[in-house]
Amino acid sequence: MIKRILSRIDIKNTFLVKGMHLEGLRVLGYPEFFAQKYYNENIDEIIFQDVVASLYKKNNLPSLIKKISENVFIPITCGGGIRNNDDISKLLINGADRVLINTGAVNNIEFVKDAVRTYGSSTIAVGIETQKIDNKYKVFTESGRTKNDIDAFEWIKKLQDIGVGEIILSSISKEGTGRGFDLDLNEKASKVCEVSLLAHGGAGRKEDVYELFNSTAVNGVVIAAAFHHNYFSELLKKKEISMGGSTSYLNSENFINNFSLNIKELKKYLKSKNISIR
Amino acid sequence: MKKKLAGIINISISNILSIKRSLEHIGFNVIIIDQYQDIDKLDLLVLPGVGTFKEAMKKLIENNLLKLIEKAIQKNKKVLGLCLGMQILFEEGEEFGLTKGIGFFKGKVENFNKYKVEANTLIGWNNVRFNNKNKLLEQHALVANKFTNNFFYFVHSYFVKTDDENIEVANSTNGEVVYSSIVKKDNVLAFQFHPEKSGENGIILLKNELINL
Amino acid sequence: MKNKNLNPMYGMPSEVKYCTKCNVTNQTPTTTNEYEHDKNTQQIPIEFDENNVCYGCNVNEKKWNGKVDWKEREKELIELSKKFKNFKGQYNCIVGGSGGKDSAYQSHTLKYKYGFRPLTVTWTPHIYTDIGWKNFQSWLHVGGFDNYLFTPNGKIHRHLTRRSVINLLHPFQPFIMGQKNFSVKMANQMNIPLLFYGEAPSEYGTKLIDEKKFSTKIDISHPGFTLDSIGSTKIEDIKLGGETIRHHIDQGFTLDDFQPYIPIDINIINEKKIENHFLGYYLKWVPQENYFYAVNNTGYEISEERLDGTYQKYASLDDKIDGFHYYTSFIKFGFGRAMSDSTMEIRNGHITKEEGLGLMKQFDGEFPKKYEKEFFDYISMTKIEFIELCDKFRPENIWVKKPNGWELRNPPWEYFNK
Repeated sequence: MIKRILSRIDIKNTFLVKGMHLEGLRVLGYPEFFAQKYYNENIDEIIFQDVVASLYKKNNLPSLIKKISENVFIPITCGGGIRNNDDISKLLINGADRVLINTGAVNNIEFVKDAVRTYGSSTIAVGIETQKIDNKYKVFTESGRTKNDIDAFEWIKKLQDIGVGEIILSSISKEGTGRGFDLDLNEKASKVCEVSLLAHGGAGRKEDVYELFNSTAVNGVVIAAAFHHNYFSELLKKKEISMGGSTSYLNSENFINNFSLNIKELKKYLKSKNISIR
Repeated sequence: MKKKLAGIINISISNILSIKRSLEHIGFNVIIIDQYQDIDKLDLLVLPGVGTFKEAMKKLIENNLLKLIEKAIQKNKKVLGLCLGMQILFEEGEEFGLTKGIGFFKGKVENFNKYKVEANTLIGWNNVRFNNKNKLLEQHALVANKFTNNFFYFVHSYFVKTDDENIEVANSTNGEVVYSSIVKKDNVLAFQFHPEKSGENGIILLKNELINL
Repeated sequence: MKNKNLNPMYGMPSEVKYCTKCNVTNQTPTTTNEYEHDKNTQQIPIEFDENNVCYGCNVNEKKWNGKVDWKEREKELIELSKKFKNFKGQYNCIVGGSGGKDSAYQSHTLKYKYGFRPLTVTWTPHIYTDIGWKNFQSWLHVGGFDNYLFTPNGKIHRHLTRRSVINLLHPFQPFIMGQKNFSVKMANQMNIPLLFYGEAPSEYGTKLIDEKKFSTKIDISHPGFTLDSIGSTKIEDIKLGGETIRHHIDQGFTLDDFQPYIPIDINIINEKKIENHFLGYYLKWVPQENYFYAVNNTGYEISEERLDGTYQKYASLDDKIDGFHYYTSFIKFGFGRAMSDSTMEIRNGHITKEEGLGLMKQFDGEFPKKYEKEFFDYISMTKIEFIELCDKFRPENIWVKKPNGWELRNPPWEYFNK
C-alpha cells in the first residue's frame, strides 16, 4: 500500500493557526484557501482540527467544514472537542469522512466503543498527543494542557482492541519545530499498532519524511507547519487579516521559521527514493 | 440543455454530501432518497454505502428502498453502486452471517481477514488496473489513459471478486487477494472505491462514465 | 452588581468591574513603591476609561493601529546603537533577565541584529525549577552571552520572604526589589550607563512618566514607573517585607544584610546619566513571538506540564514560588494567573475576550500544588497557617464565603453574561 501524505489544518475562530509544542498559536491565514491549495497540489487527505473546542465545549467545525470541503474531493478527517455521537453525526453530514477523537477518548472510552459500533471502524480515528516524561511516553489531553498517567503504547493497544480504525500519533516535543520526527516513538508505535498509523510532529525537510518512511512502518505522515510556511504568503494575498499579535509574523520581514515544504516537490523526492506514494 | 437528475439513497448517517457535490460538480441536479418514491424523473440512482452488508440490506427492505432499486434496474435507469453499495449488488455477503444481496452481479462478498493480505481493513489509495483485453471494455481503457496515476481511495474490510470477466472493468490487489474494483453490466456500474474522494481521478472517472447517459 | 456596603482593601474602588476588552479586574494594582509598602498602603488601581476599557488595552491598541511609526522607532534604536558603538569596554549595555522567553529575545535581538554588546545580569529566582535552570544555561551557551548571576544570602532572602508573606501576603517582594535594583547597580559598578528592559510597563496598565525609559523623577502624586528610590527617607525607616529596617535590626539582623535590597542612590543615577530603556518602545513587543524566537535561537524549552493556575506552559517557568505569587495576587485582587496571561494575550490579539473568560473560569485560583511543599518549607509555615493567613487578606467586595468555600462574588464570566 502506498504511504499517505496528509496535511493538518488547525483552526481557531475561523482562522488557520499553528503553534509550537501546542503553545503560542500564530494565525497564518484562512483554512479554506489552504485546503483548496493543498488539494490542487495533490495532497492525499486533510485533517481539520478545532483547537479551541475543548475549551468552549462547543463545536463550530461542522459549518466551517461544509463550506471548506465544497471543492475538495479527497478524504477529510475532523477533530476537536468530539464527545458524543451527535458531534460525530454533525460532522459526517457536513462533509467529514472520518472523525478524530482525542480528549473525548481518554475521558470516556465507552463513547469510542459505541461510536465504532455505530459508524464503523474506518470512520473513527483517535489522536494521541504524547511527550516523554521520565523515559515514558505519556498521553496528554486538552490541547496538551493535561498530563495523564497513561502510557502511549498501552493506549494504542487498548484503542485498536475496541475497533478504532486509525491512530494519529503526535509528538508534542517535535511538533511545530521542523526539527525532524521522533523516530524512536514512531518506530515503537508502528510495532505495536495493527491498524492504520499516521505520524505527526517535526517535518522540516524532505529528508525527514524519507527517514520516517525508511526507518519505521507508519502508514502515512501528517504535516502541518512545514506546508503552511511554504504557502501562506501567497495565500495571504487573497483576503486580509488583522488580529494584532497573532498575525505579526505574517507582516514581519524576517520570518523566524525557515523550514518549509512544497507538496509536489516532496512527493517527487519521495518517489525518486522509491517510496511508493500517489 | 436540461440538467440530469441523480438520486442518492440515504439509509445511514454518513458523508453523502461529498457524493452529492461531486455529482453537482459534473453537472447533475441531486436529490436525496430516504423512502420509496416515484423514480420516473431520475436519470441516475446512486447506492452509497457505509456500514455493514447485513444492516444495509435490512434498512433497504424496511424503507421499501429495495423495491425502488429493483425498479430502477428494471426500467433501465443508470445505477451506480459505491463501496458497500457495490457489494450489495452482488448475490450475498458474509458479514455477520450470510445475507442475501440484490443479486444483480454474480459473486459473494468476503472478508479480507481470511486471506494473507497487507491490511485487513484497507484505508488508503490503491492501484486500479483497467482491463485492456475485453473489447467491450475498450472505452474504459481509453479513459484509464486520462488519469495521472491509477490510484483511487478505498475504505473496506470486505471485497468481492467476480468470476465473470465480461463485467470486471478493473481490479485491485491486497496482498494475495485480487478483487474487483470496477464492475459494469448493462445499466449498472459499481466502484469499490470512493470516486468522490479520489481527487481529480475520481471526478474524471465520474464524468466519463455518467455524463453521456 | 453594586457592592454598597462591601469594603474594598488596598486602596481599590469598591465596585468590582472588568475591562470590556481584556477582562482585567479594576482591582488590579499598577505600580507601588515597595520601600514604602506596608499593610496600610493604598495602591494605585488600573484605570478604566469612559467605555470601561482599561489603560493597558488602550496602550496596546496603539501598537497595532498604525499610530506608531515603527520604522522611525527602529531608526532611533539604530541611532542608539551607533552612539554606543565605540563605547570603551567589552560591553556597552546591560540586559537584565533570567533566560526566559522575553530576556532571550531581548538580548539576542540587541546583540545579533542591532550590534549592541550586552552583558546579561541575573538575580536568581527564590528556588530554581529544573526547567528554569536549563533555560538559563541554554540562554547563555546556545544564545551566546556573558552573564553575572547574583544569588542573595538565602537566610536573609527567606526571612524577608516570610515577613512579606505575613505582612503583605506578597512572597515575591524580595525578588522584585532585588531584581529591579540589581541591573542598575551593575550598570553603576561596570560604568555602563545604558540598560535595556523589556516591554514598557504601560502595556500592563501602569502610567508612565517617560514612554521611552524608566524615569528618575520622584513625584508622590504620580509615581509613574520609576527606578524605585527612597528619596530622602532614612535608610532605617525604609520598609522591607512591610517592616522597617530598624525593626529587622531589632530582630538581630544588620544593615549590611539588606544592602542587596536597597536601591542605589538616585543621585548616582543622575550623575552618571544611567538610563534604563524599554525595548518595547523601539520594537513592537509581541510576547508570543518572543516565545518562537527563544525556541529558535536560545534553546528555550517549555515546561512539561501546564503551570498551576493558568492554561499555558510557555511563560514564567523558573521559580518554584511563581505559583504562590499569582495565587496571593488572586486572593488580594482577584487577579489570578490565568487573568494575567489571558489579558496579555487578548491585548496582543492572540486570543479573543470570550476565550479569556473561558480560560479564567477553568484555571484561575487553582491552588499551586506542584511546589507547595517547597514553598511552605521556604517560609517556615504550615499549609493550614498559610490558608488561614490568606483569608485575612481577602477583600469582602471581591470574595464571598459559601458553604463550599470562598468564591468570587462577581466573576468576569458572569459579569459579562448579564
